[in-house]
Amino acid sequence: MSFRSIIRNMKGDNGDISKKGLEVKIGYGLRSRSQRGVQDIAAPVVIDVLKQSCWANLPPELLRDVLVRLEASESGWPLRKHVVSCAGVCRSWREIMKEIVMTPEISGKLTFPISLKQPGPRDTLLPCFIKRNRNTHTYCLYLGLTQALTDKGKFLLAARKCRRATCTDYIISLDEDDMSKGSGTYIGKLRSNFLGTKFTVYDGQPPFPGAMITKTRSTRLVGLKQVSPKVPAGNYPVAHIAYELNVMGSRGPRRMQCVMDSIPSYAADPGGVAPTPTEFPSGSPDLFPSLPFFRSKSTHLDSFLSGPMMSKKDGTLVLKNKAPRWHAQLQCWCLNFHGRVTVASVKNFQLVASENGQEHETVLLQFGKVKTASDPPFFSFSLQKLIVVFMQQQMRVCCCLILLFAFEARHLIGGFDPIHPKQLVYQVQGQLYRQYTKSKIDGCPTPIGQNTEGA
Amino acid sequence: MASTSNSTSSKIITLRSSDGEVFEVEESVALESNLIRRMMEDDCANNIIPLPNVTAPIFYLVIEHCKKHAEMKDNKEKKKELRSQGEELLKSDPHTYSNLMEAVNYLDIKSLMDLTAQWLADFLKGKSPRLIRELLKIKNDFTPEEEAEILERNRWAFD
Repeated sequence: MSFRSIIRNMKGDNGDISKKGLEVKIGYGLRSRSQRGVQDIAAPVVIDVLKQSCWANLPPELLRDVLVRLEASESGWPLRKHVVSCAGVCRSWREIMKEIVMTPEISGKLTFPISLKQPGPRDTLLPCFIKRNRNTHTYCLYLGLTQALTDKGKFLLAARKCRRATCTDYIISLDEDDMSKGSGTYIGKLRSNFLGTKFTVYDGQPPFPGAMITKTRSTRLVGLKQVSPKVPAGNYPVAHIAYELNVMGSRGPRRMQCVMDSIPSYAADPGGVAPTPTEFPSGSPDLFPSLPFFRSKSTHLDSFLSGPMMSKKDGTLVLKNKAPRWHAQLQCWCLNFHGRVTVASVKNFQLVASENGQEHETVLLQFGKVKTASDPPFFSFSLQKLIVVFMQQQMRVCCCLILLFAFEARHLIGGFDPIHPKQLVYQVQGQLYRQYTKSKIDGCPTPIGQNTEGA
Repeated sequence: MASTSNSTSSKIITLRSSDGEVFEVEESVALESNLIRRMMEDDCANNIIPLPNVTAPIFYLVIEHCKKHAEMKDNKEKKKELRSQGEELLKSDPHTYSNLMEAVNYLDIKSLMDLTAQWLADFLKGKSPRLIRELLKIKNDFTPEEEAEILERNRWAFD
């Protein structure tokens, strides 16, 4: 059947429908094959159907009031799913719900999956943890709901390790069981180099309209419009992470640098804004035409043209791990996690924005080990390793987590790193210390911040 | 208005619904409606007040609820009773319930607006989109592709 004849048939259908009024049963199932081609024509039918519904005459402000009440009462997970449920009832409900639900930056709450790609709250922390399943090579990120160590959390994202010949990919998805690139749950991937020292984060969808897609394994760059108007799941590089051991080898503080290609550097400043996508690009472009795909856009497109870049580019947000302070009295390196991290490890880190070599004070993301009920201390790399993460400020939740996967991946490649029995762990006044025995720090460079401040 | 509710010589107000039926309502009950209150304050309510947007059965429901609401102040049992009645109506006849909400909104009865909205919000909790559509008789106006996509992403929320 030609396209033209389908349209003709559809037009006939529409006429029928509007005449039959209330008793019409729209055979979505019957027409599903031709639906995609004739979406614009189907629009009048939709309006017609809406009028038939008994709630259609209800003033929108009343419906809005009802949904606002629902949204306000279901403030945390798992109750928050009722909000998602209501957004799936019909178009008008979805539109209203999308208006009511604020971004995590404003509300501090995650609601729709798209919240994972929006900036996190400025003043509050989003406590998260990662669980690793060694058998399936899967990592799952959860939002922490309670302070309890038995907290099951709200599942956010999953990543699965896939070994390639020259690199390792970590496929990131909204669904632990569906990691295929074609599925609507695909988010992106993280690719590490062979040594596991450099990582590139790819977003499955363009971070802003017109972003360049990178063909895997080639340097060819193709403009989005040339590929397809339907926005396919591609590989849009959004962040680069470089990781280096310092002179002290694996025992001392390490350096980590993340260049966030899609986030401008002013985003970390007070009052700065970061790009905030409001919708996953849909398979059908006309799905929610009233919503702009992006509210703001970044102009740092050219950074993609130079391929993977680890040097600092003007105007791009660069994150570095905060240098730990050398505590002379305790003879150890320390970082203040304000009591949220309970197991000392050289792998714990805090990320801060870095501008012209100057590091900001505010911690945007912190990552560290915690002791869990099923996981005795010093046995830190068992199956159920838990890691506490806090996300703050203008960092995209998703980026944060991808960084975490990157960090986690580095450790896998680096191999098992048990805590040395001679190293002692202190936790004093919320500060976490890892003490090295004298012999371990021999030959280390000048310790940072020789400060004799008492603990 | 609370002060007049006990007096035996309470003023009776006559209202006419859109289908011509005439109701005689105590002033204390009628004044719950800000619309009627404004009309009386403006002195355009000397005779019969016409309510062109409300039909008789719905108006009857509104008055019932108004009366019960006036009684239910500080009475938890009455409150429960009213609530269960509202939920019953919502379950059995969502069409009437939506009309009730409209009428309450038109008559501008703040207390009932809050109640009806809250009942509906509570009713929606814990129900799947499909169940909500079935119970409230809302037409699904998503295309199959859109719905499949929404369902696929919504799985994330229900994991």
